[in-house]
Amino acid sequence: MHDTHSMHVDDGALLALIDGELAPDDEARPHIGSCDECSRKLDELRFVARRVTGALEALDTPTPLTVAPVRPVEVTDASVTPITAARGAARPGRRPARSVAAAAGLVLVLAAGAYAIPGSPVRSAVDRTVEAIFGGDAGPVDPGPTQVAVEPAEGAVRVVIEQSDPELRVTVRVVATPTARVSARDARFGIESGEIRVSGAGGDLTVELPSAASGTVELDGVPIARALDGVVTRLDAADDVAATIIVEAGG
Amino acid sequence: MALARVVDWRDVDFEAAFHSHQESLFRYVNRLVGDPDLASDVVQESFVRLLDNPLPDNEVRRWLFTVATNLVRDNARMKTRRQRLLTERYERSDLASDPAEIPDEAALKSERIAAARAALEQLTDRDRKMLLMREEGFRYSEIAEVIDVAPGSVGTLLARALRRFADAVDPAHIDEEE
Repeated sequence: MHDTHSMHVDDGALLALIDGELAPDDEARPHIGSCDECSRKLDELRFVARRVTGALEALDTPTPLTVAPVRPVEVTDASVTPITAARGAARPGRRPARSVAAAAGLVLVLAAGAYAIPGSPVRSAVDRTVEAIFGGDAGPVDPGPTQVAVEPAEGAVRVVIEQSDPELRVTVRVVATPTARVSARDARFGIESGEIRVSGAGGDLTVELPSAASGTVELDGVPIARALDGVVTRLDAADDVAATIIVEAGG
Repeated sequence: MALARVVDWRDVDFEAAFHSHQESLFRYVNRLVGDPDLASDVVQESFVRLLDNPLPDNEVRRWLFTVATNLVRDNARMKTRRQRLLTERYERSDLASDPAEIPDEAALKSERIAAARAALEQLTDRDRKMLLMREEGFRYSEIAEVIDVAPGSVGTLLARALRRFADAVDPAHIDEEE
C-alpha cells in the first residue's frame, strides 16, 4: 500500500493521517514527509475534506428538541418529594441513585415535565413507556410538581411567570446544570428558545438558573430576579408583587 | 452488536446524555434523511430506547448512532418520504433560481442545499453513513462497528466517498473559506 521506497501512499492512509488515525510508527509517515507527490496529494485531500464539510453544512437545520425523554416510575415513599430528590442528586456525598425513593422522585419530576409541554414530541414517547410499564394504566401515581427545562439561547435564559396565584412562593437559585429549570404544580408551561413560560402556578414554584448563563425571572411583567456570573440577585421590584419571592444566593 | 450491559438506569444521567449527544445525532440523521421532522422522530426514538438500555457513558454515543442508523435503515417509509422531499426541494430550487422571485442569497442557499443533497444521494447508503459519521468526529473503529465494515478499510472507503461527494458538488456552491 505504501512501500517507503517504490510506491506512493494511498488516499486511505492520507485521510487517516488527516483524521489522526494513522499510527505514530506507520511507515507511511516518513514517506509522506519526503515525497513531493504524496505531500501534494495530502494537501489536496485535506482541501477536499474541508470542501465536503462546508457543503454538508448547507443541509443543517436547528436542532428542534430541548427536553429529554424520561422514564416514569411510581413514587414509593410519600415523604420524598420530587423536588427534594432532584436537589439531593446534585450534592456530593449523597447517592440518590442508591435510593429507590429519591430516584423515583427525580424521574417522576422529569416525567411530569415532559407531559406538561403541549404538543411535545416527548409526550408520545412517555406515553409509550407508561403503557409498557403499567399496561396502559399508570394508576394512582401522584405526578408531583412538573419540571420543565430549557437550554440557554445565546448565553441567556428567561423565565416568565404569568397569571400567578397571590399565595405563590417563588424560590430562585443558581445551579451548576446546563439547563434552566422550573418546577411547579398545577401550572401550564411553554418553552421557546431560551425561555420558559409558566402560567396559573400556585403554591411553591422553583426556578433554577444555570450558573454558566445570564438569567432573568419575571412575575406578571415585573422583573423579580436576575442571575449573572453565577450569582442571583433579588430585584427591588420583587417587593411590589403579591407573591413571596425567595432568592437563594448560595446557589 | 452486543452492547447490552447490566447497568442500573438509576445510575445513568439521561438528561446529561441527551444534552451531550442530541445536537450531533440530530445533525447526522437530518443530513442522512433530509427531513428535520423525521430526523427529530428518529432522535427521539433513539433516546427513548436508551431508557431501556442504560449504558456506561463512554458507550452511549456510539450506541445512539447505531440505533438511529438502524432506525433509518429499517424504516422503509423514510426512503419514499425522502424521495418525495427531494423532488419537492428540487422543484423549489428551480423556483429559487429565478432572481425575480427570490433574493440572491436565498436562491444561493437553496442551490447549495440541493447540490449537497444530490451529492449525498449519489453515494451508496454505506458510504453516506460513513461520511456523515466522520463529520461527527467518530473514530474509524467506531465507524467500522456501526456500519459493519472492516476497520482497516474505513480510511480507504472514506477517502473514496469524500472524493465522490466533492466531485458531485458544484464547486461554486461550496464555502471555501473555512
